[in-house]
Amino acid sequence: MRKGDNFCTFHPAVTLGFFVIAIALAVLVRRPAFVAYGVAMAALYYLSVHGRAGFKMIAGLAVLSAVVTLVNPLVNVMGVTELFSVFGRPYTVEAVYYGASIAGMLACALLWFGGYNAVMTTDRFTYLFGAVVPAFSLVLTMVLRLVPNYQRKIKELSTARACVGMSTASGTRSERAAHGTALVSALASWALENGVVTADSMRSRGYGTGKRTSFAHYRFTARDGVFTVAMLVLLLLTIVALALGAGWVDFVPTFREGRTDFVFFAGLAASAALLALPTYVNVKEAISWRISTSSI
Amino acid sequence: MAHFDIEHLTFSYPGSSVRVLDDVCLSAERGSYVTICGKSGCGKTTLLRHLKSVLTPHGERSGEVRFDGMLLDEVSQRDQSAQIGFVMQNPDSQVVTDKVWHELAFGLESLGCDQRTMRLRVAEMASYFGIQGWFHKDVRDLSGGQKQLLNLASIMAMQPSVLILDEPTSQLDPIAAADFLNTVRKINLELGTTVILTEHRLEEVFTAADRVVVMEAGRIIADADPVSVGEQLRASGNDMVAALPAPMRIFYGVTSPAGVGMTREAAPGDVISHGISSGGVSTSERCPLNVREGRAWLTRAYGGARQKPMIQTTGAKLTDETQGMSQAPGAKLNREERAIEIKDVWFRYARDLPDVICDLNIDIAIGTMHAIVGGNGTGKSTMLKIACGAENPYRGTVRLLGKKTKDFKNGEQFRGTIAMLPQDPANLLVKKTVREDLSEMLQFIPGGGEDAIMEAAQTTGVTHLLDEHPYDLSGGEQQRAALAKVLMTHPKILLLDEPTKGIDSFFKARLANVFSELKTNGMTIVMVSHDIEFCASHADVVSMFFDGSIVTTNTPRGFFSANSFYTTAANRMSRHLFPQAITDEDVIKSCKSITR
Repeated sequence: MRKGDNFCTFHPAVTLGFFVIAIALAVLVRRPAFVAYGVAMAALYYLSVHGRAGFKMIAGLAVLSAVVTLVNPLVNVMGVTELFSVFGRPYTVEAVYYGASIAGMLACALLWFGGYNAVMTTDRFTYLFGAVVPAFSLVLTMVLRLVPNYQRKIKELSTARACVGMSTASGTRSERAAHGTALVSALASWALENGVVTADSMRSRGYGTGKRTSFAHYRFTARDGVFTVAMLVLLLLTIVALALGAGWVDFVPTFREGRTDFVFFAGLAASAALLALPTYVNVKEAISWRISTSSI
Repeated sequence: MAHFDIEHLTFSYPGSSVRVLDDVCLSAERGSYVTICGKSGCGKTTLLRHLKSVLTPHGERSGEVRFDGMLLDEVSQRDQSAQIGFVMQNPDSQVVTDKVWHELAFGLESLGCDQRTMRLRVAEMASYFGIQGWFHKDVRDLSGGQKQLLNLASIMAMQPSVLILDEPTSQLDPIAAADFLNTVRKINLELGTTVILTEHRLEEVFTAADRVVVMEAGRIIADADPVSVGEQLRASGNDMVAALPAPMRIFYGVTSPAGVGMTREAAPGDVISHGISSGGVSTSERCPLNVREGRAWLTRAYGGARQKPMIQTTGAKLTDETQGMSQAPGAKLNREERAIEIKDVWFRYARDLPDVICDLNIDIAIGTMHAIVGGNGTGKSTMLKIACGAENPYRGTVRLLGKKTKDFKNGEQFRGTIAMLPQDPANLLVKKTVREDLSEMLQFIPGGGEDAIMEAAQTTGVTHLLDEHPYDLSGGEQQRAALAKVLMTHPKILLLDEPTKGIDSFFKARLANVFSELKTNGMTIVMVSHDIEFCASHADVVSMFFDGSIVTTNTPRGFFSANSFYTTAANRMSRHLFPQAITDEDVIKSCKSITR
């Protein structure tokens, strides 16, 4: 759990649901107004999780977006409104728009993934999938454990060998290659040996004797229920608006947008509100903490 | 009806005619605490593995194992999983998942427990074992001792009626080991869980166990309460006596005229003759099992002699024993007398991490065996890495035989100046046979061949193991095979990281012989160890490492007799009478000199 994040105290299903929706909206809806609001909400949430350190990431994404926006017209020559030509190829307004849209989508998705990483830790993820596919979640847990274990062992092995003069960092190229190979084969035999013991330990503790259940320390509370309902109502409104053409946009040959009536504004408001939900949770709890500490 | 009944169990591995278990009969009563001991390779582990069907090895077998009166094979896997808890040697590889809470729940998940029961059992176990504090931690952030405790807790969560432990503390430092064994004893006393345990560290288990079973070459040679087993071993002159707790060894050493393990007239099981009278010790005394009983016994037997002048001479005789040292430790050495010189060294692993080594200064004299003792995580192993130049300090200098480590390029110090035996010797053994592993080192010996391999193998006593796979060797054999490999670089300085970890007393004695032979040939040996007894008997100089630097350096006698907690069992037992005695032999000698 990150400091300043309260969204992660929700049930894993709720948090995962939110991120799936947010990332899907970011990827599927291309109309500039939606993209702009999406990026804004994603950035706000990212900042609410990471605090000041979040600005670094956002600045980086701004540069990346600018580059994508400006470079896209160089490869994409579609569109009719030519600004100037580069190496005899047209540089069009439509292509700039299109680049900006892609950049927005990219930034938005990256920001949501940044939030996702902070909130959906592996144990939350495996808990969710443990209920559906127990074997999968166990395998995932075990693999996640093995990677750092192998890294540690490789370090141990190479130090041990370096201290008797067989370093992978010095010597002729063929010597180094030979030492490297020995290292990998040593790691492999250690891993196999280790695997046998782990397998014994699993079977000894009843693995495979019947149907597995999975331990959960998450409870679906009333708070999760309220959040889910709010999320689904706003999602429904957004979907209706999108289905009625509120999100329609076309970049080539000319830039054209869908309706700009009440349906469009309602859809935009609903999606913005939806994406603001976790930020709202974080900010609200931060404020209530401040009030309760100041009243002490 | 006994909890476990083993009847005439005989077993050999496929394709081998050697009986690993030979007509073993053993029964464990409900709620009893049975310790099985014996040299490595005596069949202890194979015997334990026959007590749970999923772990039973393949091979030729006769005889039967009954659990609660039922043939073990007829007890369902599910019941066995829950009823029979099994803790193995290696704390790391037994762990299945990545989080502490998940590991605790793993067994219950496998048995398909419902959420409510699981929550309660996990909560219960976490509270009973005091692991609430690290409940949400990653398993990899735990220490070895914590991991082994977690393994125990996650098995206890299934509420087994019997707990089987196969050398559970061999990979732990003495403090974590004592903690672990205390927890096992607590489980036995408070929950009535039957405990069957193999161990080579007998100091703690001898006072806890109701029964001790001694195995040798697949057979049970003694099976009785701890005191009687000690008597039987002594009477038969079995070399397992060397593995007994220090108070027992000293008692036998003082009461038997020929010394420990020298009498070989009685056969196992014979009635122990109570006729040996030596040193004025009444032979009707019960053998002390622990330091407290040992102190009481010494006071009764020798407390009266305390005022005699003889004890002073004994004490004086022991102090003057320091040999092989040109100067007292701690005295300033000339640069050419120093094998290793570490000056004002500071070190940390990464910029934003705390200092591991702070202001370390130590000189190690050429041709000595220098032991460094101290608690876990104080930076002892890091010091060794710095000493050989595998890690570089950010401040201060390290010199090997007068040359700065920085001036050795491309690790050339490892070609004949210095070498290190790692804590886990298997890290050095990477090939299919020991011989291939040793051949790998021939590249550093111009013109070296088979004879170079044989020379190293002979020094370390592994000639008979050359064609074995390194992973099939016992801990002590692996240690010596790895040492052979290290010696093939012909180092002048040898660094040892916990050389006695996980090794039983016989292999320890052999290892000590190897070290003293190397020392006679002029090698300087620096050893980091938790094994106080080993350091007291074999080192020339002992330093205490604490909080990133050396606190004190002295001869073993000066060092251990000045300490009151961090000292050998022999010293703790006898310090009120013989303050200078630090090894079993010292105490025996002092006792005998009083009455001579």
